[in-house]
Amino acid sequence: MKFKFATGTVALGTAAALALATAVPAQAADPGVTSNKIVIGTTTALTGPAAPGYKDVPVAAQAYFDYVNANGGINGRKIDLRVFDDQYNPALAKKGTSQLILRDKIFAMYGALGTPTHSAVVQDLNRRGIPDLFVNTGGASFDNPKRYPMTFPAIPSYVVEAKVMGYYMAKDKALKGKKKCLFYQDGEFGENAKVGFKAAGTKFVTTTSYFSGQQVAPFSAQVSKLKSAGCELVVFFGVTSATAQLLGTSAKLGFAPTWMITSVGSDPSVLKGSLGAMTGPLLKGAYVPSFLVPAQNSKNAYVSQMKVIAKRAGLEWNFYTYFGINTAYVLSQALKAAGKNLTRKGLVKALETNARNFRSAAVVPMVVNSKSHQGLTGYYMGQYNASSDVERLTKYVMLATSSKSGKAKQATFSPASPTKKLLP
Amino acid sequence: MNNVKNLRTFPGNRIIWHAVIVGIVWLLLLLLNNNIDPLYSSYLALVAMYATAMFGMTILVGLSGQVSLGNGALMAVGGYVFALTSMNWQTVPIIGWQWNAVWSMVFSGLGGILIGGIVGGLAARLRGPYLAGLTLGLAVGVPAITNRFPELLGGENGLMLSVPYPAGGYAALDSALGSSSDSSSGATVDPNSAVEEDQYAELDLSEFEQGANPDADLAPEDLLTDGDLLTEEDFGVGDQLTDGDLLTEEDFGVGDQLTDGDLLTDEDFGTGTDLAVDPTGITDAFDSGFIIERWQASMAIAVACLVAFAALNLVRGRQGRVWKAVRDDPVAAAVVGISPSGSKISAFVVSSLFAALAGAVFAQILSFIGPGAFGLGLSLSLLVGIVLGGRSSLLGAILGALLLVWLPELVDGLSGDRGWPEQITNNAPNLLYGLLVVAVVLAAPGGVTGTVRAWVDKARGKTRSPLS
Amino acid sequence: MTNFIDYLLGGFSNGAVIALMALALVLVWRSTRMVNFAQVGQAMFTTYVALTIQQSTGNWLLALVVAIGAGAILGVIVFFLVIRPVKNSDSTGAIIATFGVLIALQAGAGMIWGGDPQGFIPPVDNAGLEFAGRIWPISPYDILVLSATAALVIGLTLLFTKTSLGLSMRASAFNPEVARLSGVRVNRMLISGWAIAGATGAIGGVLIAPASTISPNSFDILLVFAFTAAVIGGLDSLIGAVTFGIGTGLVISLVSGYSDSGNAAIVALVLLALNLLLKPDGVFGHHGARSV
Repeated sequence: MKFKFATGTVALGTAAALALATAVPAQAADPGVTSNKIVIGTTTALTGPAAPGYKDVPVAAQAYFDYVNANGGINGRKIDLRVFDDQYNPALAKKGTSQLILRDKIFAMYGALGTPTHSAVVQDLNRRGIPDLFVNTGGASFDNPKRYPMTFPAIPSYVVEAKVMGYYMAKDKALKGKKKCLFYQDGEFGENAKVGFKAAGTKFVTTTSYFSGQQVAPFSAQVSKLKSAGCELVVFFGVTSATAQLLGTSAKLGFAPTWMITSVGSDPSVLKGSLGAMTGPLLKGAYVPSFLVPAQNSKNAYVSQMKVIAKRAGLEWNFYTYFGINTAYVLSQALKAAGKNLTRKGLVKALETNARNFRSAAVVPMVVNSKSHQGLTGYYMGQYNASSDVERLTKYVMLATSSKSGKAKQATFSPASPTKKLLP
Repeated sequence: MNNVKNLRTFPGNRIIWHAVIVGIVWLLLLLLNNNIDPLYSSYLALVAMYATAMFGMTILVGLSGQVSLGNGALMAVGGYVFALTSMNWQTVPIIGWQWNAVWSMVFSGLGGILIGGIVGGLAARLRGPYLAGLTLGLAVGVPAITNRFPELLGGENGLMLSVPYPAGGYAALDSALGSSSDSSSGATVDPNSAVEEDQYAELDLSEFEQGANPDADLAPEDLLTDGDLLTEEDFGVGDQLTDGDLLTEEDFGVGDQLTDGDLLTDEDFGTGTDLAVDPTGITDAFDSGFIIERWQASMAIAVACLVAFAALNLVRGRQGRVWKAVRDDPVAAAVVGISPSGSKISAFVVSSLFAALAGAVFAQILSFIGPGAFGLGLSLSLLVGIVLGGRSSLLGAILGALLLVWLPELVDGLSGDRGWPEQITNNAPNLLYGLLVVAVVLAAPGGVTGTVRAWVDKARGKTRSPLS
Repeated sequence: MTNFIDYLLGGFSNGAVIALMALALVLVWRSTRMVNFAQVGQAMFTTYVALTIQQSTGNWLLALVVAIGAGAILGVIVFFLVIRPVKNSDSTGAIIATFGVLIALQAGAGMIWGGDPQGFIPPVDNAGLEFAGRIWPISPYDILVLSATAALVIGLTLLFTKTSLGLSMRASAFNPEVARLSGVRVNRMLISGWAIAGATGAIGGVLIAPASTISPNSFDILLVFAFTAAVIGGLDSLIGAVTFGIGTGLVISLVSGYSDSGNAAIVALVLLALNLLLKPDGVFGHHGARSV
């Protein structure tokens, strides 16, 4: 799991760290921090049905941390990432988190994957006062500073995404008159999406669903149902392997509505693996909300520089790699902002006061304060082009909260430039 | 046939002996629990929880000879009953007493007995593979039911429990976190329910708003053109970067080939100065002297010991001989007046009761209940544990529980980071685990206890099947 | 009404694949009186082998043939390394052993081919056929799958009823001692049973892959449905496995279409329980010498 960089600065960085170690007097500190090391932990699915795509995220984060470590680390400390494979099983996530806390003595949790898995550990992390940064799920429940003062989600919730989709569908002349239908994965996708669309006032002609794991078989019945209902615009909330199945089955049945696909179910590299040469024609014109600069926009400084890191670590450039590096970049800035005297409380405070100044490839505002830990606040609307790359469609972004009511609102936002050499 | 003959012998005062044995083990375990690292307490809690469920597997699979691929689903029943009763009931129905966690355990057990009776009634008519089919359906179907009732059962995301920790426990922490109301009432939180709350209204995004008329159609100027695409020159805030500030491949030094010396290794982290830390992982600000792993382990041990006591008396008493008699020779058993189907159903009821209690313990350890934790994998793990540990004795159940917790640690250790490519490293633990399961079944068909007993018998010059 | 017909047609091709896996389970049961939980793992593994062949040669038929061969070989390997040593002593142990094989195969496939789902290009067009002014959810490829399933069932039935190999295999499974006394090479028969089952599973895997994607866990849910179908059908019956395999596909399709897909597993459980209540030995099962 460790991808290391060749660099002449390793020795220098180590020397600097040692120098610092002697400079800082021994003090009572939180677990996981020594004079030259910060231990952080993550639980995610490296194997099993939920692993596709997500298994690349910690590897990409490791690649970025290796780069930072090779350049002197953060305030003289190097980041030591410990990864536990929970196979998307809450019981394993609990066991893994206990190991990370009690054996690896982590300073903070970072990038834990999944709502059910993280539900089994979030209370414990907060009670112990362990920072729980950038939980990787669109479930809305973890943005709750009163209950979980240590927990910060990584992405906008599915409620926010549904509100944004609803806003855009009502606004776009070509879309507003279409017969709209919803197809979702049973569970949190469906529950959250319904809340968001209700708040957005989106009316669907029909809704249908699949159960997790059903994507092994074609969605014949569901697609037939959508087709016979005369759906012209189908909104899809589910995982990427199911997107592939949906598009494939629809092509088979000669059903070609306008698609609008959730950002988490739309990674083109995974779709290309599944759909092969059909990917281009099937995806072209599909709408997809996104909060990051399009991954193929190499003109952008964030994208081009993160691609360099991925390339040097030998990683394939896809959405998950991009997301992993970007989140690691934000974490590094948070750690740096927490100062040389790094404490858990200090890290949380740094996020709550400084998050707005953190640089990232996100093109929506990052809002974190003591009352809201939502983080990224919305999406722009994107669309797939013929080569299956997402192109940004709207100049504005659409922002929303996860509340039961309230629509998305249009906003403008200009992100700040990356830091020098993409170092925190 | 020996078993049939022995039916008339009354167990005598064994019960007292069993109580003494279990009591001593209980005390020793508590002593152990209080003197080990909290990490090992957390393992101890899992072992006790698995053992509780597996005492039922000993009776069902070992003594009664019925295979079950669905005991994980029976655990889910116990867990959900625990969650729902502790969430919704303030007083005990009918009696009207103050509700507490023990009552939730009692009702979990009752739920297990009920489900066990239903499944056992069906199962008693079935032979091996058909029973496996039914219980496999149970293992898949029961978790699916939770998705059908998201309002009540929390759907795929499950329900978060506020476990009723003992007085003093986390109370101070909870009030510090502003959620004291939940734990005192033992409330349950649905991870989906956050969207019901009003807290999101506090997020004010108005400063970013554009003031566009939301009802207006998309105007041409809302659409992005090539000129609008962000390039590095386009950043609104912060320093204008010059080309020299951008990360390029040249920043990584010359030469594409990495040599070993270039790789960052653990040694590069140096020895560093360890700063004084609290080994429990609980920081000063939140310290209340309460170590949750110890509490979880002592709770799980208590349930396991009580279940072990019940299991000992059943297994070594008349009922145990009834189960064995029906397993070995149902016709002979029927001749002496034992109902074979009654015996099979009773084994199912007992194992379901134990499974439900284990499920309630598991829910408290996880402080969460959801279908993902109680899937087919858990059911199969229980069967793996009982086969590896030895299915014919309660000691085998305990050893099986130990193996279930220890084997993953072993394979993780064996396959730890060796610098292999990612997809090898990720899958190595599972590969080893699968092969190890096969190897143990082949090398020790009677499990640990069966094999040890076979060695002992061999040494004494006796022969018998490792499975009996 | 057109909806109903759509759901039925869609269910048929899904059901055919469940039927093929159920057939493989039945063949193993006939051969060694046990249930092979590694069956879907073996099929997944050989489908990856086929995918590799297809990607490098572009020849689907060659990929299928190699997969069938690999399936048969893998079946024999599993039989020799795992099943024969445990089989006679213990059916529960055998279940656990095959479960261990399943985990190992999934991990092995993940090591070799990675965890991301991959597509499989079908040999014939997979677009729904146009008829009476609309497109129906049945494609030339579905017709290929259904005909292959039918051909396989007929072939296997003939093998078991008309050939001496088939009759010897049945005899060996029913009563190895008597078969051995009558001069049947029992061991060879058991090996043949596992080889044929492995090959059948391999065909099922290669056939389902183009309609879906392949990943180490992608056939997991098939095991449950195939086992359900085999059990309802009576475990011993080829025709039972096929009938209820297709029936399971139809039930999933109809439930997904008319209510909610999440109900499919529950409906399957209820049908399974009812069926076993009425017919404890399956619909087409032998009642033989039931123990009390």
